[in-house]
Amino acid sequence: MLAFLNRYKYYLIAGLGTWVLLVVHKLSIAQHMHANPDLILLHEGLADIILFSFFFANILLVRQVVKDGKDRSPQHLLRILLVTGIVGGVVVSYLRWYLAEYENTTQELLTMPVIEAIMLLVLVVFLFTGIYTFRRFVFYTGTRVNTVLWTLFEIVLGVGLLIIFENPFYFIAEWIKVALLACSLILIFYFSVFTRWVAYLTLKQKLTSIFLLALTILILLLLLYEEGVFSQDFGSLIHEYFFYRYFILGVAALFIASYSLFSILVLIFNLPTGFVFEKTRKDLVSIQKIQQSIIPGLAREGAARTLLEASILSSNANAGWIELENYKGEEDSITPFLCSGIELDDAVLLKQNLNLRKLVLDNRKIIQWNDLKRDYPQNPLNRRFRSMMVVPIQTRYANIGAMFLVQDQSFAFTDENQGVIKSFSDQAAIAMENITLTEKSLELERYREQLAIARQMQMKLYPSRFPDTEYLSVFARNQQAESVGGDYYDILHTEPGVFKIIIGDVAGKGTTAAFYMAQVKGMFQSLARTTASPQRFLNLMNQAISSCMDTGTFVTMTYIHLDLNQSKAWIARGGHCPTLFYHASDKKLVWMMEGGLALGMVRNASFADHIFVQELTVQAGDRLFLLTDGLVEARNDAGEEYDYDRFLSAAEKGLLLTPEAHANAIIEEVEQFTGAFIEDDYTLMILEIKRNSYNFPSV
Amino acid sequence: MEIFITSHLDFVSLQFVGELDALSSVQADEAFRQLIESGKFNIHLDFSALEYISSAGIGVILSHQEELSQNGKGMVFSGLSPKVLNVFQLLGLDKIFPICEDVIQAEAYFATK
Repeated sequence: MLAFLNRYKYYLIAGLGTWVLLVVHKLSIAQHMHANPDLILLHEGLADIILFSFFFANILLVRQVVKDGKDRSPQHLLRILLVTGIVGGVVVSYLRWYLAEYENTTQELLTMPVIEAIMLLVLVVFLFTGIYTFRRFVFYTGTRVNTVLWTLFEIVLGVGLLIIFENPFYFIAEWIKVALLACSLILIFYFSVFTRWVAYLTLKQKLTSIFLLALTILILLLLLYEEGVFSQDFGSLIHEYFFYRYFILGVAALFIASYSLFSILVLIFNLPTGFVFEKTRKDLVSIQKIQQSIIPGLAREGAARTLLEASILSSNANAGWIELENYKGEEDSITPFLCSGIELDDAVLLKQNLNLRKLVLDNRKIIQWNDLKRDYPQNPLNRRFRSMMVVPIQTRYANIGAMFLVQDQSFAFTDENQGVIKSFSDQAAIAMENITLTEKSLELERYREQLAIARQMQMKLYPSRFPDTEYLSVFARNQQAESVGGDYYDILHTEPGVFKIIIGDVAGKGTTAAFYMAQVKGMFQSLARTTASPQRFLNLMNQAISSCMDTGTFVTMTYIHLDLNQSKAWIARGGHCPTLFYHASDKKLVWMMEGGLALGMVRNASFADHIFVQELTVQAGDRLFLLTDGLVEARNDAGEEYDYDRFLSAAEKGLLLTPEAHANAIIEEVEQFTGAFIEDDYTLMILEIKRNSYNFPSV
Repeated sequence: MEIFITSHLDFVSLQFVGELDALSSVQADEAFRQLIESGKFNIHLDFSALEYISSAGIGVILSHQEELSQNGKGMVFSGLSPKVLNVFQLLGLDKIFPICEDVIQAEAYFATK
């Protein structure tokens, strides 16, 4: 309210100010008339100026307020207009009734001018609120021509306002007034035709509008009655309101009456089409509903249900059902899963009687039966269902289901029904497809999470710390190309100065390999603690692997028994990449090629014949490089493998580094060779013997 | 990869052309299965046109080895390229499978065993 006052403060001050002037002036005339009637003539010029400014200020005020008003529905605007009129009408009627008590007294002389002024204010406010309200109706779907003509209308009104000054000066010729009136009438008629807003109303809104417009006319009549219009004789009435000072009031009243009447007529004529409009509107709402069912988490059933309900409503069907392909993953697809107005058994029976299965699956268009009784005389359900429509629910690539609609009348479905329902089913198909996609991506996300957990779990299977003492320093680096892999390495410090080291690779990739790798870890951890000889270790390992893993699965591994007390290492290679040995005393790097079968290949006792153990004497400064084939088989863009020779020369370069730095340097070299990351799984473990022959403290 | 099957008097030759990797090992597995189902247990694997063999490929060969050698004379390999031979040697496969030069030697192997 305060904002309203503030916004229109100048208009309000002008409007109220001129009104107060009007009141004061009228009062003074009334008093003078009582005292000295001759003075009245002197007032005439002043009276015209006051009346003109009162009209001008208040019309501008109303024009501005109504034009700035928010975009509201026609009903709402009409209601505002009516309230304005009713409030004004009540106030004026009350004052008239009140005045009747003081008829022919001095009191009347004083009160009368005030009431007249109020009356005039009410009229101006109501009439011009009406005009500018109807202006918004006229401009409902505005055209440029209307804008120009409306300006012309306002100019005519403006000039018409000048007629007030005619009295003392007589400068407005009669023909000008006639022309103005004619112009006004033509424009009023022209604008009255623009009733397009009617088309956008629902049936209920149309009825309300008729009622409101009729009330508007009534209020108009009431106000005119209170103004005393109907007690005047016709000639002076026309003169006063169309050729004299109240010209604009007359034109405005005509405008409101004319526009209201026209609108009422148009509304009445449009009532029947309201049903069509109503239906179209409902159909649109249905489409929107179906679209809104594209919400993640809402099951496909939700979209299907909305589709079925909307379609039954729109086509005026008695019943219907929906079938979805692979619903609940059933191999024998297309079985009804959602029925409305029909029992599941009846739906199945009807389909059987009509022999529909194949047809529905393949057809991408709507199929319609107009008279089932005629087409299928044998069908016992004919009495209940005579028309039927089958609508495919299809994505761009395939039918994902079908909707059946049935009606008890023949020829129940029109082409228009088909069109609307087709767009329903298309929307629903999109919704269902999106839901399926969402579900799939959620599922994928769950798998990813599971894989990430698996990866974390596998990481825990690798040793987290390596011996890094003044006697032995170990470091290993490992990469898994996929989330989980089959590479395995481990080191156990079983007794003082004795280490059991393993590196292995389970054939295959991914999860299967990872599970087997976990088993290998269990085997190593138990067998390495209880078995002294590498020969026996590999033999037992082979037995364990043979009994645990599928035929065709094999594990390559190298097992090292390192005894620093004796300065000895025993290396048993079971089909695995050879170990590179750096002999510090003669500064030579050698591949330990000697070896036997991978484990799990031969699953009987004869495996023992294929185990080879190599004995080494180790000294301070000696290094062992254990690796998996991911490193030596890494390829560059030309398709060349990194191979054992390149590995050896890379290893040669970093012999003064710590095992950790050495391993990193070698892998960097491999990556430089491939020009990118190494694509495969790989493991590199480097052991450096720092001091031999020593009495180890107990573990 | 392509597999060409040639039947001889008392053995069957499988010639592998291309790469025997994880993908094509399924195809190889199917070939072995069919031979075993039709009662062929003497199999000569001609690797002369094999460019590469992965652990999955070796796995497939190994998975049928026991059944073949129990019911017949098992598998013989021939025509291994240096690269494939290297893989065989690394894994120790050369110690458990007979490896010969060509189909004639393979025939002789099946004849004598």
